[in-house]
Amino acid sequence: MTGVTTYAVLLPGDESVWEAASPEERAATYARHEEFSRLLAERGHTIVGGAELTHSRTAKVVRSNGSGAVVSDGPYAEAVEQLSGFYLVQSDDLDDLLQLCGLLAGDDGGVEVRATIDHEGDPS
Amino acid sequence: MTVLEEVVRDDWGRLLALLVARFGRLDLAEDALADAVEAAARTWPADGVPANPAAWLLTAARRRALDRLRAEAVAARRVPVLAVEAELAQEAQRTMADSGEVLVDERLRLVLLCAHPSLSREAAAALTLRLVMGVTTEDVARLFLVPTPTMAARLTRARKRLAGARFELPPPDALPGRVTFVEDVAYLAFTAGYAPGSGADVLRADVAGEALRLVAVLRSVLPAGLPERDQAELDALLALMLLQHSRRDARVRDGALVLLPDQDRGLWRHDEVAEAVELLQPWVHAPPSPYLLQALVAAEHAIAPSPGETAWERIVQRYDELLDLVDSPVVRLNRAVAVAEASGPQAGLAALSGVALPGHRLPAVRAELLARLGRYDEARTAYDAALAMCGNDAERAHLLTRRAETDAG
Repeated sequence: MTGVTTYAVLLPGDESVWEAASPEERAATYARHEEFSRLLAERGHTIVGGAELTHSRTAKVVRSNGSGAVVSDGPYAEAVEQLSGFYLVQSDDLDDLLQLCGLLAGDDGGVEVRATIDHEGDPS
Repeated sequence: MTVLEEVVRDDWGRLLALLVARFGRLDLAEDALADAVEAAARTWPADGVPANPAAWLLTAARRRALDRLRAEAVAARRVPVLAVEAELAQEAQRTMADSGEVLVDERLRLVLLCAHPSLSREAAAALTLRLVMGVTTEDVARLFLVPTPTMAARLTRARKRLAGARFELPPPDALPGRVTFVEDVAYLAFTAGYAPGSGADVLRADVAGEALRLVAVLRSVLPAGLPERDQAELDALLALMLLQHSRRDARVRDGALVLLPDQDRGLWRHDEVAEAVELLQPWVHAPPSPYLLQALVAAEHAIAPSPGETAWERIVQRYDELLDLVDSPVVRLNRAVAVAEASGPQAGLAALSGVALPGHRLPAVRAELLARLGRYDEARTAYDAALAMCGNDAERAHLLTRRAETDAG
């Protein structure tokens, strides 16, 4: 297939908002994700992966200190907005995909869409 | 099943536990036993099966381990050793000297070593199936839907993590806590066999059956005197697994998933149902606990002669009790399904409001209830949402069929 690109749809957000959300608010959020998934399928985009991530306080970061790898607790960068989840979507229509991503943009954060690089066609 | 397969199935854990007690090393014990099994596969068909197959394997494994130790001494390798009390090691040695006529059962130590709190539940589950139940690495990989080399690496990491751990029984007051962890690990392995992940594999029930056997083994090797609530949970877990497992032949027809109401109840293993009901009998009026309530729900399905005769009100009641103990979106979803059966789809939909759960199950249930109410447009939308998030072929096929039926309606 030509023209099909895999995009990472990244969902940064203020985790404190999610932690404080009521069951109804969470249900509403998941309902938006259901609608997002449904519309993607309906309009010819394919979800090939994705996950909801645990709170960034559970993150581990591995860095090299010159003599070996060091594991530390906490997210890569201190920031109010942290990556809270992601989708991998195959699509041949970025504009339409971006329009649908508007569904997921809310008060607690925007949506970042990045094309992945396909090295299949690289000279070997 | 050949004699050798039978011995491996029934005695692997017992033999391995003895070898670990004697040599204090998981890697050495496991390799030696695997070598002995291989030797048996080679020689038994020609020389005939020995009078005491388990003792034959134990002797062969012990020789093999001693050979390896000698070779290692030459290589002067340092290997981490498990802490085994001297008395236990001696007893294991004595058992082997007796040519294994009487096998002391050290499987509880082995179970507690494998289902070790320092391991993740997934790693502990895989290791316990491999070491206590003798399930091959390939089958463990199949159960958890990962490639065999991935599982082999995961098992190796888990074994390494246990180096230096104690091969011992915890003090009596700490035992229930450890048993609870083993239960969680066993149930995780069991549900892995039944919860379709992604791909075409509908169920891996045979391997899940090994997790069931693990709980039966645990029950048989635990000392008497477990606190009542813990005993109830252990019995209930075994009953719960038996009840779910008893439906394995009815869950698939022509490669497609068959849900509970549509299953041919004649295909259920009624001996296993009877065994489960007997296990639950003493605990029916016991104070509620999570596995007990789930087992009682499963039992309601098992004793109903037909789907229409299911005691849904009682099931809703059990779910209400379960919600008091563990309030989780999955319990709420299951409760809503029961409410819909007891009081109609409208009540079921109402019970679903406020349930927050990612994935395809929530929209699939909502779609089903909307379809029953004749709200076909909304039902189709919900089916599409479920389909967009469902990665399992068998479940997708089911959802597509149901969606097509709303077109006809």
